[in-house]
Amino acid sequence: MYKLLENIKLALQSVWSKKVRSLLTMLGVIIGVFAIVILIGLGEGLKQDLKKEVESIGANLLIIVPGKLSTGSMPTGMVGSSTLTTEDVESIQARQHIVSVTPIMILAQPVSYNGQTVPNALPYATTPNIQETFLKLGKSDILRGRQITDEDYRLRSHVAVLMNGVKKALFGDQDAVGKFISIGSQQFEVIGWYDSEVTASVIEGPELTQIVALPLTVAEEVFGPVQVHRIIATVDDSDNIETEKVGVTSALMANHGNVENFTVMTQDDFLELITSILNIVTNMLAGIAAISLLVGGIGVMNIMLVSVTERTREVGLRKAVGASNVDILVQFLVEAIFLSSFGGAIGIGLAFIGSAILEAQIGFAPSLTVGSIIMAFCFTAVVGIFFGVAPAIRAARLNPIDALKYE
Amino acid sequence: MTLFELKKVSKIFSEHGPNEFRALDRVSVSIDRGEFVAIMGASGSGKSTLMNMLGCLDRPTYGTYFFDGADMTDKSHSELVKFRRHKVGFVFQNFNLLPRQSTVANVELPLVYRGVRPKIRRSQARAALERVGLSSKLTSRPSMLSGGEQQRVALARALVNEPMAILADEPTGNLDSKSGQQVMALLVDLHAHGTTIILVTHDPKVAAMAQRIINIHDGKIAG
Repeated sequence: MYKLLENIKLALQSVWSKKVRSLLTMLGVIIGVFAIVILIGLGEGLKQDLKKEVESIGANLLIIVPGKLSTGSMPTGMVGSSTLTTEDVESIQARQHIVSVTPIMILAQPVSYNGQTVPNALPYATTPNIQETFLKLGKSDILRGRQITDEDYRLRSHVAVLMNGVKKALFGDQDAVGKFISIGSQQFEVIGWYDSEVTASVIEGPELTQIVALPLTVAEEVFGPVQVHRIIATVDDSDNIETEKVGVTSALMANHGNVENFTVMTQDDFLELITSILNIVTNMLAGIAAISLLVGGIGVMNIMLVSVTERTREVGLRKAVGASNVDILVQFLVEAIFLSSFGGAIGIGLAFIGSAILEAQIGFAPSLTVGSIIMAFCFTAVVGIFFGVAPAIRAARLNPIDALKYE
Repeated sequence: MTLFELKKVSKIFSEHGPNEFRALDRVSVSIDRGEFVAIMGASGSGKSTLMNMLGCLDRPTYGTYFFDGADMTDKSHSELVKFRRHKVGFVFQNFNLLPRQSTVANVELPLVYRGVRPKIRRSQARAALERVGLSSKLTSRPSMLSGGEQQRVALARALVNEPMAILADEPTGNLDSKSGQQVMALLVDLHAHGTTIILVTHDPKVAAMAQRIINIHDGKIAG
């Protein structure tokens, strides 16, 4: 016990007596740990932000998309034939706990204004209730003009509401209300647009901001038979969401001849999907950062080997006055662990500073979790042990006579 | 009563190789408890090898070595460590002090490896330094001390664990005659208090202070 204390004291003295060298040695570890903590923190922060966004769509929505999705892939903005039908919409509508159903038909039609086409624009032909379910106003959103009404729907009015991205592409900073845009060969009056800071959504990706909403009735009249590409169903109570997911799935299975060629997703499913993707990305980045920590560890090993050679006589003397091989091993191992874990502590400290700077500069803070910090710190200690063991064994094996004669 | 006993001990480097060198050749020596012995010989005669053998810093190639009646030839590493911790103290020609440690910390070193508590360690180290007349230099670094003072610190380090024997390899070799005399006086005093002293030297004047002189020449006892 006293010996261990003595070894820690020795390690401190040894590191302190060669400050520049120790700092340069630690630099590799510092950079590695900094990178790991910041990158994991960024991934974690992103996850939390997206979680908030997904939660804001409400826990009582079921989103049905065509095709069977497996975890790890995002729903596509597929246009054209869909496995969903109007019959499915009616089947869902008929369910007891479903409050409202919004079918969405994504039109494969170019959107233009004054002959200028927006390639990314995404015409959504849908029912007016989309504005209560899916295209809800966020905190920072402002609606200019008005929304699509039931009357527009019934009268098959040629009207459209633009999301901020497509509005900006078509009109720049001008007001769009009252202007006429072309969807395919048809003219539509812009009756409203969303002024929003949101640039992307987790559910539709950047597509959300490219939506041009128009009544499904008019789309059916001018663009042909209704195709259902998305169905958004509102459940009366979020407690019923899981049972309704099962219920809707089996109802649609019946419609589809028992083939599950569609996917019913809840908020939790989206979260899971997003989390799994983000985890892959975060782990990959952390893995790359871990390589730099490995390089730092090799630096520690290198300097420890130099240190052993420099202190050969000291080792000889210590053995002559009664140090065992284990005593010498522990002495050098403690020094290596100290070098790398002190570097790790500095790296973690820098990560905190870096995260504060990031928050101030770009308004997005990496979330530094206790878990990732403890993990990074333990990792550096392991690096110290792993890369310190070889030099320490070398020191421990020195023959006292040869070591004492070493010049 | 015999403390050290070597029986036909040989130390051969690179045996059977082209550069085979017999540092010790069938040496038999016995040294009694409480004796003051000087091992004398020219440079390369094998006197340091003999001392290293006696201090269990080195193992013989052939022959057997008894310390205090126990066969040391086939002792394990940990038993040799125990021997160095409790039975002997070393003094070297070039002092071998740790340059970054204070005087008292240098003297404490053997006690650290014996696992003695810091408080007791410190007081024992102080007592040892007092004995060599350096109680005023407890916190000095070795670089601030004269050669003679450094060797006295080394001597304090050798006697701090109250060994049965002190093995000194040319302790006056790097010192001026006055400092050398001080160091020798301390060794004589230690001997007077019952410690066995084995001194390696090439200087006949220094050797003359011992009770008995073992001359070694080309790895053999010369008489």
